[in-house]
Amino acid sequence: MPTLPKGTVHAEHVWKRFRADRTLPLFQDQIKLFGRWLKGHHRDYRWVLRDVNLHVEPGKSHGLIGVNGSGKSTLLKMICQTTFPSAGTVTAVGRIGALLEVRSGIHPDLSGRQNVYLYGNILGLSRSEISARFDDIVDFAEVGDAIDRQVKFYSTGMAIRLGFAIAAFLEPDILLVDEVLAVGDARFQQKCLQRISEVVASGTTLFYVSHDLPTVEAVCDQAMWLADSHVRADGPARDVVALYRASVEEQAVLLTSHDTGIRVLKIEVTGADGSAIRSGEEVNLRIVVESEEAMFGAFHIGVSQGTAMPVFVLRYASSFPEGQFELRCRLHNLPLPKGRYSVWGAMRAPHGSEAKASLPWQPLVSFDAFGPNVIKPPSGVMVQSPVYVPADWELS
Amino acid sequence: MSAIAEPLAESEDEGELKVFDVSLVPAEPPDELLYHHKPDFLHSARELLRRGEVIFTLAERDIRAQYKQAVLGIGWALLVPLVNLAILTLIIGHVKGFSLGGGVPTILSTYVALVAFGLFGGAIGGGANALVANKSLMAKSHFPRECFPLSQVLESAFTSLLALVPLFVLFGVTGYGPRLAGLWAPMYIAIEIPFMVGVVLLVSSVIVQMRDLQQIVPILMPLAMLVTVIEVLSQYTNHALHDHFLYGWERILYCVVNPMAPIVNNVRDSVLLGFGPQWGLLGLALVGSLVWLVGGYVVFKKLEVNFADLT
Repeated sequence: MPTLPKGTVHAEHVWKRFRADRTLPLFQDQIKLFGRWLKGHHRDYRWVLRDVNLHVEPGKSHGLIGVNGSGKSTLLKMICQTTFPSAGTVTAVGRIGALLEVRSGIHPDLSGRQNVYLYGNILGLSRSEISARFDDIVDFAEVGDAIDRQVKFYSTGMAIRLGFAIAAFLEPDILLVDEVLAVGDARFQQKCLQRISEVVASGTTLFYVSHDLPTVEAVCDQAMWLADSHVRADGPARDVVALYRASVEEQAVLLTSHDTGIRVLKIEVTGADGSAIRSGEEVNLRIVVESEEAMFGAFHIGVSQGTAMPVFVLRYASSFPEGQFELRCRLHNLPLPKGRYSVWGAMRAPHGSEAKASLPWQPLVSFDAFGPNVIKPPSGVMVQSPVYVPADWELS
Repeated sequence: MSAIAEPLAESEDEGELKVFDVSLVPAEPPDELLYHHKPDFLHSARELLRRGEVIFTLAERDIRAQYKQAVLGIGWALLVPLVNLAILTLIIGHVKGFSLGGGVPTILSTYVALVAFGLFGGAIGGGANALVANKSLMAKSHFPRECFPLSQVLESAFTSLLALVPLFVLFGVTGYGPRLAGLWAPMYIAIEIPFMVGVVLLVSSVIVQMRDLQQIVPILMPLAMLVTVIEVLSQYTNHALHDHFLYGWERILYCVVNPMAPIVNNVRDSVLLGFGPQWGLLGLALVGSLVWLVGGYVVFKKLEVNFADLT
């Protein structure tokens, strides 16, 4: 292996397995296992990562997305070199700062100050190097005088702030962040994203695991989508996230397909006069619904990027008959940029109503919109929902 | 929509999107890719030297944390050996074989043995759980895993050093001064170090896989101390135990398996009676010590591959 510059992460054909048997680290279990081994039985294994290939240059930011249990954290641990791959090789060059769990590596009985020095030392920094960054850490973590208090008396927010500040200010070559920022409040999250952008801009390689897709898009250049221990896609963050969103939608269909008395028989989404759908133009929805009982209720339509969280919602309240009926809806001006969207729907009677039938929130159909790309925000700024707003600019 | 300008073209080249067909990935990796754990001892030892500072950091952390919320603080490091001494003196008063003879107060001979053995006992007692207890730190950062148990050896050395303070008080109280030959003691302790390190590496790594040891170690340590402190090796005194003295092969084997016995013996005899080193026994102890060190290190490195997954 030629010497790689600091901050490079390289993984080649990485596989990882865990034991699938129910062995506990107890003596009697070990004896049993030994007996089985004598009889020629081998252990059962469960593969949690299969054939992962990865190459990240210094200063790049890489997102890892996927549902729970898809192997994201295991991959991070291997980059962190705290666990060995079962097959293949992982190389990470340089100092690694990791923020994996809220209080990981923070000793509850020590003061904040001692923790800073402890972790800095473990990262390989000298005392004076840590001292030089100490004030920045305290400022960022906003713990103030509490820095000399034992960490176990910190609130969760303070602990996570300190943990992040320690990891992000001790100038690691590689920074690993696993899903922890969600604990902080909105202002702190924004501050962290800001800091992450700065750290990346200064040449640190970032690995970012999150279920918060807008953040991944905002922070990462590249992303990898892991599903069921496989790499499903790898490439520009926005494209990978889009693919992942589409798959979440597929799964949601499977999840909500049980019958609850109201069915959507047919749904059509078309542009003006049946043509393609374009940003800023008219969109027509035609929905054929079958209900097992008549009710006074409301039909909701939401348009999302695939997930259950819509960009906008429309509502139509009325008295609906029993049996089949057709709903038509016309949007005069579609406020969405180019992309793939899905239409979600729900119908239910208000609380306290006699009617039992309902349609739970579920995806109904997806469509492609044509038009301008959404404008990319500055690095580190999240776009929650990609609304396209036409605007006239003037410079004087 | 033609009135709206397209946003500027992407400034960065973000590479191509690669979508993988999951069905092409085999169920298991080809055999040649499988990881076979072959520890590289030379490289590990060099890495340990390079990051040796972490041992001090961890020891400092543990010492600070340990005494932080105690009312007596560091005073416990002085009090604990004295309480142990009181208990042991009560027991030993009833056993003839513990008297060193030569007019040495029993309380002194007991305390010297306690300190010499306490260094080892403290290291094992604390070091056994070092890996299991530092799970979160282990998941977070990569540095030689040996640092965790070794920091406990260091911590025990610190505590033992403090335990010397009561020793000098005892010298004053009993009016019995240390002998000049006591200056040999650091050499004996130096022989103890490889033994301690070997045992602590062995125990801490095996505990990760077999938690049973967590229960066994605290039971075993006091027993080991009693066995060690009994003078089955002394040639000068203890005629009461004469029948139990070990000779020939048994003696050699005992010294190799339990180097603490000749070490404690020599420390006591030199500090309190002024005898010189028993070179033969110490040589055996050194051999035993090194065997334990190498054995413990090999086991530790072999088991290391599982630490992160099993803790």
